[in-house]
Amino acid sequence: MKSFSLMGRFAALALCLAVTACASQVKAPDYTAFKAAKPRTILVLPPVNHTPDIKATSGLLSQMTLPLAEGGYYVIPVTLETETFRQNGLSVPDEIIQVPAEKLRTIYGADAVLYTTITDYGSVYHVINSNTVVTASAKLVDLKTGSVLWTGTGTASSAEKNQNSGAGGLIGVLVNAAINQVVDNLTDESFVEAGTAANRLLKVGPPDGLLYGPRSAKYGTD
Amino acid sequence: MSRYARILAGIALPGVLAACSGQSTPPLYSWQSFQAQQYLYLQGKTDLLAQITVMEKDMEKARAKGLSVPPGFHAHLGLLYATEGKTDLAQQEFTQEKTLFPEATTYMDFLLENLGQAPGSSPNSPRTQNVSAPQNTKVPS
Repeated sequence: MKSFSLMGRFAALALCLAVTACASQVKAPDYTAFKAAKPRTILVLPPVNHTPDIKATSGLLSQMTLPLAEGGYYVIPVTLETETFRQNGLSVPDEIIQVPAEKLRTIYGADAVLYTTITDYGSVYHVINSNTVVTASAKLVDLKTGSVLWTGTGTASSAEKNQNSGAGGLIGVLVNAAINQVVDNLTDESFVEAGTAANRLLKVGPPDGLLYGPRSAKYGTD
Repeated sequence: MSRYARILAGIALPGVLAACSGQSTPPLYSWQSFQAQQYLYLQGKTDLLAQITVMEKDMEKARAKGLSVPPGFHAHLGLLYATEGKTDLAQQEFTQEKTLFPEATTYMDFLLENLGQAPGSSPNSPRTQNVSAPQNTKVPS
C-alpha cells in the first residue's frame, strides 16, 4: 500500500511537471469578445508593407490561409479577393485597409477581417553574415461590431534554422512539405521565412493564439 | 487518496501530454504547392496554363488519397479558368467551392454574377468597375 501511495505521489509530481512544462509564461488574453463573435469566415486583407521589399505583401499573404484554415476557419480566397479589390481600383494595401467594414461584409460575406503589418522582410546584414528575417503583427476585427477580437505578432529568421529543425509541430511539417514541392527558383528564402512567420503569427490555440474555428475538431474546447 | 491520485494522474497525464505535443490531430487539408501557386499569382508571374495543369494534378492527387483540398483551392482554379476565358469551367469551380464551404456562398455568388465581365477579362486590362457601381455592392440573393 505504501508503494502505491508513493506511486500516486510520483504520478502527481509528473503531472505537475508536465503541466508546468506545457504552460509557458504567456498570459492568456481576454477572449470575451472573440467568444461572443464566433467568427467562421475570415477576410485576410493584403498586409501593409513597412519594408523596402516589394515581395513582402505577396509572400506573407499567400501563406496566411494555411494556419487559419487548419485552425478551423474558412478564409476568403486571397487571390480572388485581391482581384476584386483591383477591379475596384484598389491595389495598394494602405488603401484597401480604408474600405469600410460594411462593404467588406457585403461583398465577401466574411465575419471578421484581419489587418496585418509587415515590419521586417528580407536580409538583415551583419558584419560577418546576413540573416533573412520576417516579422509581422496582426489584428482580427469583428465586421459586425468593429470589436478587436485578437491581436498577435510573429517573426522568423533564417538564423534559427539549425536549432529549429523538426520544430513547428503539425503546421511546420505541412509547410515544409509544401515548400519541398516547389521548384526553388520559383520562390526565395524570404518566402520560406514568411511561411514560418505566418504560422507563428496566426497560431490557432492556447495559450495566446486565435480560438479554434468551427471546422476544427477542437472547436469550443478553448 | 493515493488511489485517487493515481487514477487521476492516469487519466490526466496522457491527455496533458497529447495536448502538449500538438501532433494528435491530422491536417484538415492537402496543401501541396497551393501557397506557392498563390504567391506566383499575386506577383503577376503566373503562367496560366502551367498553373492550371499543376492545380488539376494536385486535385487528382488529393482525391486519390481521399483528402480535401484547402479553402480557396477551387476558387483559385476557377479564377485561372476565367482568365483563360473558360467561363463554364470557372463557374463549375466557384460552385464547387461553395458546395464544399457554404461559408463562401456570398462571395462565390458575387463572383458568379460577375463572371464573364470582370474576372473573365485579362488581369491587366483597364478596370472599368467602380467601388460605387451598383453591381459591386449588391448582395446576390
